[in-house]
Amino acid sequence: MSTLNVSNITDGTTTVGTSYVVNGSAKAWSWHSHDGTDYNSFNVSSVTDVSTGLTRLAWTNSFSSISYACTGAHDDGTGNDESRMAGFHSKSSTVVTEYIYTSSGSVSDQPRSGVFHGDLA
Amino acid sequence: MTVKSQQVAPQHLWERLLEAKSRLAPVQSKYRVLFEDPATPDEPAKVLVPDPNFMAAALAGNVLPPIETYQRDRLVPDGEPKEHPYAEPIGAMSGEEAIEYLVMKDIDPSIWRDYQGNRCIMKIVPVELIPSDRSFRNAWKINQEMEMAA
Repeated sequence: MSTLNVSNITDGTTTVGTSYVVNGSAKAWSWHSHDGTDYNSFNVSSVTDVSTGLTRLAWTNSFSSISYACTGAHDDGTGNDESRMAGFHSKSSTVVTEYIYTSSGSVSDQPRSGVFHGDLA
Repeated sequence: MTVKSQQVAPQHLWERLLEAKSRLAPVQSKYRVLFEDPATPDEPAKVLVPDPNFMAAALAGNVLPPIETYQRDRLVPDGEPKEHPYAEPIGAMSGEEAIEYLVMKDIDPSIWRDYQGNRCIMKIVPVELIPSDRSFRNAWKINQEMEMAA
């Protein structure tokens, strides 16, 4: 594996430190169905189907602490191609549980996505 | 500014995961881990699905750290330095060994190690034994007879 060891990146006009790029990258992401049959991800070791609407993601490389950002969305299942925000709870540096609700307020097994930013362990 | 190019193995686990994802095809496991938490007996059985990129890394070797590092890191307080991202990677695992590794990593020891009750609270089963009908998902329990999963 080749490594470029540089402190700044520039397009000729704007220059940014590589630390902005590294620290600003998502450290984990996932797109998965409730049962894990449709799937893509990064830095996830497993998805646990906890119950209707709830899935728990476990990180291969954990975060340094509980202080990391979670963003998630899912199709609302109405066939209108509308996305809704997902929620997160039971968060630790090693796992997080994602839950989703339909527009009618019931928990849902729709496929869902998540993006996670923060400092790694 | 200096630019250096060198052939080195990534030292940090996250960097090895990046490199592995670019190189390895995902591997779908044929198995699932069914488990119940004795601390919350009213909750339904949970189904752990191995991540295909994790499985690819486990089967290829030289990506994941020893499982003992994750177990020691369980005891490390939040915000303190952890061992597993910087540990030397281990070699290739078999599919069965990868599932065992995941059980020890992602399921609480109170389930796979410490439970002493009579009820079977964890099973590794072929994916075909997981019910496809989710109408009563929140009532799933591990079938205590050997031939059925849930």
